[in-house]
Amino acid sequence: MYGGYQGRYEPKTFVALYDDLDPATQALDVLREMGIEDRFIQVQSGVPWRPDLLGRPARPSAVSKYALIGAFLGFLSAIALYYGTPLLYPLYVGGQPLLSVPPGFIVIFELTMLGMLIASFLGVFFESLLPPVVGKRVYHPEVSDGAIAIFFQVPGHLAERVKQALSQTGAIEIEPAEGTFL
Amino acid sequence: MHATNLPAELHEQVEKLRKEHLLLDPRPREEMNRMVLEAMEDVNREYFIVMVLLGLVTLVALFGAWGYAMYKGLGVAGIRRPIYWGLFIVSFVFWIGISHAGTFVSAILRVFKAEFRRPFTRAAELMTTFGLAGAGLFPLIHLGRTWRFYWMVPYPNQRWLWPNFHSPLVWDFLAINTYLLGSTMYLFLPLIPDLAMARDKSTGWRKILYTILSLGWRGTEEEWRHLQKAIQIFAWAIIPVMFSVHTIVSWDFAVAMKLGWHSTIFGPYFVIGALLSGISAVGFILYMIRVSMKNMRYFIRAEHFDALGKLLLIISMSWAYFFFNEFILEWYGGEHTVKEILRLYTQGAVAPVWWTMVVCNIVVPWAVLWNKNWRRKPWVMALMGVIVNIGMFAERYVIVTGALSRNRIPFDWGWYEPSLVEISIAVGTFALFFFLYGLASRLIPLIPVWEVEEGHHAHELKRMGKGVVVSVAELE
Repeated sequence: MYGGYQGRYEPKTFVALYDDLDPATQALDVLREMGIEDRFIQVQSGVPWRPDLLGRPARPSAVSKYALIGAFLGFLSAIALYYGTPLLYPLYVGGQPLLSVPPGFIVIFELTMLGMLIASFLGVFFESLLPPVVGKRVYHPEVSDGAIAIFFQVPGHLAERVKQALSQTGAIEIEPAEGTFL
Repeated sequence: MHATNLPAELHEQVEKLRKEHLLLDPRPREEMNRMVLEAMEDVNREYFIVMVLLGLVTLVALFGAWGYAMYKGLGVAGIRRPIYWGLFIVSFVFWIGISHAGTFVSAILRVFKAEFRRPFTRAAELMTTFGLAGAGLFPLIHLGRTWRFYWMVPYPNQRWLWPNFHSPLVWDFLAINTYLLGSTMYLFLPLIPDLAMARDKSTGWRKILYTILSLGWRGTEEEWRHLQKAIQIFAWAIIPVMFSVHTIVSWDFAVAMKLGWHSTIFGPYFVIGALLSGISAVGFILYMIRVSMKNMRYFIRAEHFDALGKLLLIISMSWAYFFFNEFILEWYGGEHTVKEILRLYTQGAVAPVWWTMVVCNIVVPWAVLWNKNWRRKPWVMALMGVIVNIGMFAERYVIVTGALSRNRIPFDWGWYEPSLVEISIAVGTFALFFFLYGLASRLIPLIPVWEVEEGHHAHELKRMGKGVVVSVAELE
């Protein structure tokens, strides 16, 4: 990203705060024009903004895959419990069959759905790396008050130029930030 | 659109629309955060007294009576042959019904992107969790020997004996647990951004609590993307789970070869009944929140009661349709014992309860909810919540105890009178529900502020011809 500058100038992290979507997207354009790649930019907001509105790359969430895997595991557990356990200790009652299909649908449905829901729930945290285990991550509490925070990393020698360009996009505040982007 | 730039007649129109609709009346996020946190932190004397009283009633009426029943045995309940199911099962079905509103209001309205849902989804979802907490107690209470509960849990044991998965009671166990876990996760996911907001704005023990609960949420694009995907999956998936729970509860009855119960329509009839009681209860809860918590009049407005009122009217009509279907076919069949059961309902000893059901579930809602002015009055909707729930409790009472009291062997007919212990436990669960809800109202933000703000961004007023219209952008 930083070409010949990398290694000679330590990258620095900054945060620019915006109170509206339009100046924030303008700022993102400015950052890109100045050669800062999307992976060195992170946007934090108090409401979800679609990537196409922000002009950021859209990636599908992997949570759906977790849901499918969870549903499959739930389905297998249901089969094991419903059809497996009676075979472990067969008890024939009133001439009824040991294994019957229709009531099995109920057990299979419930456990498949349970597996899917639990896996989707956990998927959010695995994919978002929450809660953070090590290290400090960049954050600005103004996000809770509706601000859009744009975190970006630039080589030290470019910092002033970038800050100056961003101040013309209507940033409320531009200040150094500490922590990783994870 | 700024009202100041408009001609006077449009200015008036804009102001009227803003007053009417929350999502057209934006306030800065900071202010909304402050309003919600103020409401949470407002633990005044009245609140404290009410909570102590509810706690005491829960302790004595519910846990005290339950302890007594465990100590003395289930004989202290009024259930006798042939009526083996009484107030415990009536209350169980009632609370399962209440729990349906949260999911219905939140998930279905989310799937259809109904904008009016935004401020009250969480208040409704909490009802699901606490309704299920109440409902889940009754199978345990009804066991008598509660400590044998673990026999129901499928786990490898010394004798290799497993629960019988063909049994509707095990279906119940699985369905209720799936729904309880699913709805609690569904409550928690959209709550995370608001917990992070509370973390940033609180001090002391609250800051510690919200720091733990918000799990380091920062509102990055990645976090929002995964959270929204999960909420979407939950909103779709929890709907069939919700339907399955009350259907399975109805099958507790319908799979029995019992006259008055063995009906193929019981599944949808129970589901629609659950929605009727649950949605009317949401109206009551919203009224309570509005009058008892600070700043809630801004978030919960007449438009929300109006929308709930319309929904309630449609559900009441649907319930009447299923009720009539169930009744007319039983009656037309002409089976001797069934006719005796229906006579008992309409003219016999159960008649006061049966007619209460008809009046509360059909006559009153239809008489009141057609009128827009009444639907928009919060106290009217609160009253409807109470009346309809009396009707729905009566419905369950009739189905459970009425049908059991008559069978094909006349010498085995009986009569049920709930004992003091049963009444006490039933009353205790109401206290438990309100106690838990009251506690939660001061611990978690009841208004999903980020969803309301998203709604503010999506709505705007647009001038069209000589008037002003509402324009909604699809941001989700």
